[in-house]
Amino acid sequence: MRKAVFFCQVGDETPLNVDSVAKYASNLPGVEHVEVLGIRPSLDPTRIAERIRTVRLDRLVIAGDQPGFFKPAFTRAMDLASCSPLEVFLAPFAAWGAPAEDATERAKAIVACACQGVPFTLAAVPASTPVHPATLVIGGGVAGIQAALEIADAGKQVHLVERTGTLGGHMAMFDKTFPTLDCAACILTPKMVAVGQHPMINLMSWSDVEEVSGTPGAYKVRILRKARRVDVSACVACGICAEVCPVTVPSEFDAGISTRKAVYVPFPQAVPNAYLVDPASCTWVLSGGQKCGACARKCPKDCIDLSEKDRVEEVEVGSIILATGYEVFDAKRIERYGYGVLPNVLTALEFERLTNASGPTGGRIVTRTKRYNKRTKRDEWVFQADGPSPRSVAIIHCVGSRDSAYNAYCSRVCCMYSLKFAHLVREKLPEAACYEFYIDMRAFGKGYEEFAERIKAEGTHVVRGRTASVQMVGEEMVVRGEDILEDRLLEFPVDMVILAVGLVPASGTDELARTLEVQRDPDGWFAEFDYDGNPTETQRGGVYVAGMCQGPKDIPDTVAQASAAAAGVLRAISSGRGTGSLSSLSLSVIEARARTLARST
Amino acid sequence: MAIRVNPLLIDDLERYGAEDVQKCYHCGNCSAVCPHTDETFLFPRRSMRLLQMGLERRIEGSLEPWLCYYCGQCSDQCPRDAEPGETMMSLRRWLTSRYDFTGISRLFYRSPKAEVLAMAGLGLAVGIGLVAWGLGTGGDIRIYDGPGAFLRSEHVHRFDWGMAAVLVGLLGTNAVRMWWFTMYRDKESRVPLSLYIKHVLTLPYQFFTQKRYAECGERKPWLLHLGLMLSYLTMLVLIMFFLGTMQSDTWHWQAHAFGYLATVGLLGATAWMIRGRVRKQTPLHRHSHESDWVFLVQLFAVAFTGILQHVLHRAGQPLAGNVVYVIHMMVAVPMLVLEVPFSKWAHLVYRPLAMYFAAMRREVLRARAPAPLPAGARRVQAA
Amino acid sequence: MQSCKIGVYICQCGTNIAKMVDCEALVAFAETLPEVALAKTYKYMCSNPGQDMIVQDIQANGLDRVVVAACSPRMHERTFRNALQVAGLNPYFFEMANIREHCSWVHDDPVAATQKAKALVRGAVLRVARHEALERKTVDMCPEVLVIGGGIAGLTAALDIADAGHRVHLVERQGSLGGNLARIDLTAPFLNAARDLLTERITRVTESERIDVMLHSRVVNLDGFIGNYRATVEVRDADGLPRKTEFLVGNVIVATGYQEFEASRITHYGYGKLPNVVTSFEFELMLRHGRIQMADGHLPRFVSIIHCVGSRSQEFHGYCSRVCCMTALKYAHEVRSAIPGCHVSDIYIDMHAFGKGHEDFYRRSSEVKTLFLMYRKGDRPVIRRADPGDTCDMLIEVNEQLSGETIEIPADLVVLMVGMEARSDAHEVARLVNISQDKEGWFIESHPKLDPVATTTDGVYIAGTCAAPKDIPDTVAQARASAARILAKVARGRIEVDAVYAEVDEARCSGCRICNDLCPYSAIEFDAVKKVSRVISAVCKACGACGAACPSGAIKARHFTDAQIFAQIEGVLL
Repeated sequence: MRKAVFFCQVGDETPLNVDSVAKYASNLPGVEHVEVLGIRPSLDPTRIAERIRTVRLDRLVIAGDQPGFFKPAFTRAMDLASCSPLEVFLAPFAAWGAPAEDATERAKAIVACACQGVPFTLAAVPASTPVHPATLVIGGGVAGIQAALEIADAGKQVHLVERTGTLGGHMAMFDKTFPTLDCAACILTPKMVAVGQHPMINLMSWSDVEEVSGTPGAYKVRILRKARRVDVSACVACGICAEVCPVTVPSEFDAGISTRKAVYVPFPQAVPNAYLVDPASCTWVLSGGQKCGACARKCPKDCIDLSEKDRVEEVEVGSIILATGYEVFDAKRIERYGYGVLPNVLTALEFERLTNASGPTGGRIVTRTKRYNKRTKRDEWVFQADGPSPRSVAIIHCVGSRDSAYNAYCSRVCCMYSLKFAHLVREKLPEAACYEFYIDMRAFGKGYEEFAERIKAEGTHVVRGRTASVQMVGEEMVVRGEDILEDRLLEFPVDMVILAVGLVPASGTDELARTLEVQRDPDGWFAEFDYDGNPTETQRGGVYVAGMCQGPKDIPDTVAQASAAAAGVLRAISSGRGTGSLSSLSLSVIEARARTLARST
Repeated sequence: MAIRVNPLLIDDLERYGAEDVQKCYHCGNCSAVCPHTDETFLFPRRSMRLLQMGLERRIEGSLEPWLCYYCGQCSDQCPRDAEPGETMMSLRRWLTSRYDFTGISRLFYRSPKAEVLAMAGLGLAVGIGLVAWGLGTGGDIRIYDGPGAFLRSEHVHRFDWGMAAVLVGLLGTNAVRMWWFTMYRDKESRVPLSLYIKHVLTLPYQFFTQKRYAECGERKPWLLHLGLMLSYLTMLVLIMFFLGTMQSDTWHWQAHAFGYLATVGLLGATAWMIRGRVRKQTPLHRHSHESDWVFLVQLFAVAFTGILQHVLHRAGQPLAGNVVYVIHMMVAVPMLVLEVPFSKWAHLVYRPLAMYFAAMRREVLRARAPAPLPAGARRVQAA
Repeated sequence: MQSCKIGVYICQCGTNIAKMVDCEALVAFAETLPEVALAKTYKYMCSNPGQDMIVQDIQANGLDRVVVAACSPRMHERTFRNALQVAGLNPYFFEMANIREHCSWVHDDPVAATQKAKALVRGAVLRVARHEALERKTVDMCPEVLVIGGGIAGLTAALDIADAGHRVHLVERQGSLGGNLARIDLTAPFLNAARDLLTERITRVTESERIDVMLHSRVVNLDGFIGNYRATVEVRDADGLPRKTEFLVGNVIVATGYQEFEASRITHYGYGKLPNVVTSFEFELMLRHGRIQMADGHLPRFVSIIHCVGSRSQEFHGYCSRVCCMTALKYAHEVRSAIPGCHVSDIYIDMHAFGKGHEDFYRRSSEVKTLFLMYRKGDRPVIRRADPGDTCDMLIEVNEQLSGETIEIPADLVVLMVGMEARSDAHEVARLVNISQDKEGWFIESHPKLDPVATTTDGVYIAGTCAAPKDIPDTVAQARASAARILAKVARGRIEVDAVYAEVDEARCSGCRICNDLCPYSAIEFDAVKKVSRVISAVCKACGACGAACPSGAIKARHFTDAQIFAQIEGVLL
């Protein structure tokens, strides 16, 4: 069989040495013709067809970062040259690529497989390794919870490491969930409880993964157990310590719109339901034990030990599931929306807490009011349960998303949660006007389109047009934007603006990626093994991704993916064999396997 | 009745500088940040849309491109780097070529080579012509003014007037075509005659003050532009009416004072603008079409040679003076004949006209009953 | 009936209940009810502290019955039963009063709502007093799995289970594996070869000695219950003769996929009449064979792609089919690549570019000068033949939203992005494995968010596009999720079945066999020797149909005795 390999590039730069790959390709059996066509070449199928005829080719291989973009030209060329159009194979480097150092070798392997007409994923199967039955789950959000429960329910040991003091992640902060509008707490807390009580789950909250060593199937993980300074087993969350604690700082759980003490429990339904001392704000800790210490004295169960030290715990696991989630885009970066300057410009998370029954206003949607703070001697804007409720609310989509200046990608959930906000506003404040400013209404999931229709029917003004600015004009806050479908430029005086901020990878994602030798995609999310075929594994054997940390996702997709990751783990544990790392495979091994596979088919 | 789209127009506009318009996904941000856009004239998004869809007739009929002064805020904030500001600029170029019936403008914009060749050709012709004329009329290359002068100012004066006539003729017809496209061809764009009288003052007002440019937020570009324009006009007046006085050996402070002032204005402004385009700091300067360079360089050259021949003459170098004078004409004539009516220069006429027309249209459209607004919302009025 | 100590707990569910029902008043009222030892209210009863409250009260105050007035039992009955068990009380000494879905959510008069809540609580209290201790049984779990459907979902699930070491029976009704994915050339948005993905899966499936692939076959019967299903499959052999095989499986994965919308149903797209109007799948075929051409064999100069054909519409399907937008963008790229001079226009409503790499793909499609034209939902474009001598074959009229103009766009070839719809015979599958469908025909998951792959029937899971439209990664993830569930269950060996089922009092049974055919779960067998009917407790879903029909009143449903029901009815009639 006479083959040709064409190199075409979509991206402007490539981590690999194309010439050396081309040279390698020209020495492969049956390869009669190799051509490097460069970046985004303009291809003429008829000219390629001539080439096919003259060189009498019967198989074409297109190699490059995303060769699929050029395939149709070659397929048509094959047809024009009256050869089989099915004899066009792809060697996509981006799909199964390796990081810079061995990118070139990997590319050669990918080309070798394509020349044999064998899928790379079939030829490049790392040798299986024995698997330690325990599993490490990093992150205690809904993804981590789901994955941990799936595995633990199978009677397998799970170590769940959570950075904060409680399980729940972002979902625990939400009020209702779209499109069914059942309250997030109602469906999440039982799962949190289940994790907390599960005999097979070792929950390590207030802890960080420090170092991961070892090999696929036998990882050694050093976990930093930060000093909680409160005995979890003894604490009954009576709250007396918090009453006497003199320090107040913004509450992370309430997205900063309310305060907590230095000794605190993130929220009443927290798991573990025990207090912890925040070393960053505790007077005793900051003063090196010189000052305060009231909580320890007042604790009726004597379960506060302010002098407790961090310790390091080491666990052995066979598999690791990454479920580190996301953070929201920092709205301050877009000055024209006035976030951080105008008191009643909120981020989505802040609004979630504001409208949440367990939030600072008990679920009443109110605007910030000025209040004199005696300690700081300054006026400050705060939410008070008896504050005035807004007469009009604007919700701005795509804040930090779909914008080349910030995140070029779509954050996938904002359209729907914004519609949900609109519903909550209209439900709680029937008199209030509510405007949504969107670019494309991305209601793609089960029941989403119907939900979007319902919100419009409820009287929310849905305006197609990205808001340009939020400004104070005299006493009133004005949102200015083009109403594209009506072809007019409008101003909306509003009392509250909610910014549908996009999602970015959680802080620390890059360090974790380095310690685990897991790749990240151009947007910074963890890179899955294979976009289409294998969205839950990574190129590192025994390391799986679940939920947002692999890319923005809604709850159902997150849960499904978390379970899917668990499937990989359970498969490995119950068969006793797990897959190794892709990087463990040498070029020659892949070549050989491709040849045998080609012969067998 | 449905209008036929022309998906290929966008390819044509690339030659005029609209290279990124297809990237626009219509979020509407640009229109909302534009300090000039208002309820009746919404741009740049809408203009970009018309271009993407290739609705030529609609674009020909639109005044929006002339209402934009390219402050660049739209391009700065565009989430897709679709360069709305540059698109508007390209549309101005395209419209200029549409208003021009000779097709010269289209040729120049699409092929800078042709433009430069034409300039050089005409320049050469002028050079030869003037020398022939000078010698033919018994002029002496060593005498600059008075009897026996190589180029007698009254001759040049006559020549200037002739040229002015041609120029006005060309510009006039283009202006009429502009009016026909924008204010008459489509029924819905016509306005009652009374409005033409009512708003006629907009024309001189905008022409001399260019006030609208000042509304762009930053005032510096406006002052620069105004300075250049006024200097140019002053020079035009001096040359058309006081050429003799300017060139006579005796001093005429009034005339000369103005002359020098205008020269400083011309040289300073053009130099500054060239500097800007070289440094590419503002969106306006990030992209420079070949025609922009031709425009600036030529203007600078004309002003420079103009003052040089004057200085040489004053410095008692009639020979050098005459030589530079010829060169000056070799640059100036092509500029006036080929550039002013057919290229960027023409906006001097089109912009004020557009604002005049816009004022009338706005009044008509305001009268129409608008669609109901969402509760609480209000229209953004014209600045 | 011996006296008992009942604890009543009123959940505020944040404000979900509290905003409409006066919980304090409810507590006061509950305290007055017979045999109620204590009544309390709390923000979230389902939360850890809430459950602890119950456990502690049971142990401290010796409660022996518990009533929780909160949400639907479907949501949290299990949660609270577990709490009782933790406290050492039989979980069936529990009753839930649904004062959220049945009360606070559906009423707007606080006074009346509170009154109704009182009635519901009273009913629950009177009922729970008559509850009996019931024991749950455990049954064996057969490790083998039946996978229905050989598409990417079925293949992936089958592999995960087989690789874990369990036997899989993969039933595919077509003559080959691959399903709808086999009809696709490149996948969006990275334009990878679908063939690579399928070849890998299919090769591994056919090579695996643990997967028993049955082509040309249909599941004709499935009876039994989780852990113990008996499947009957009709297999057609080489010469097309059907033969039945039977085997035992513990769990079933339904991965029957979707079918495409029938484009000719939208008359003014002229599909079937206009020769150059094709569906996305027909166009996919052209691409695969490198022959993008008009009916007369000429190359098209203008290709138009119309989105949402059959999707997001009033008359057809209200939902979004989720994959068409990206597929359309893919076509735009492919056309530009195959026919460089060809112009592509893309007529859409909203661009759903939500996934990884999608937005970037959309941007690139713009950069290759795809003309995007937006139409309003419900205001569909109209396709007509161009006049002879025109430069194109057809003209599409669109009320273009982004310009406000009514335009017509030249087209030589029109591609209709047909949406996904539930298979026309999905209801047969649904009946076969006893799962339900939504109004659009998609299979319903047991919880839309936290349990997207399980169904209301234990041991039956759904994966991929038979549950709702999905792209490939989400389908694969779901397939794996269902595999995970099964692997977990199988790993545990035995499983517990609910203690609530019907019982036949053999002494009173006349053997009339009315109940046998009546039972929707075929859970009742007939003992020919004793001439009595008998209920297979593990299969019984306690629907009560048999009990209601039994002429001799011989059938009693555990936990739904007449005494209990009557007490509850009396209770609600305040």
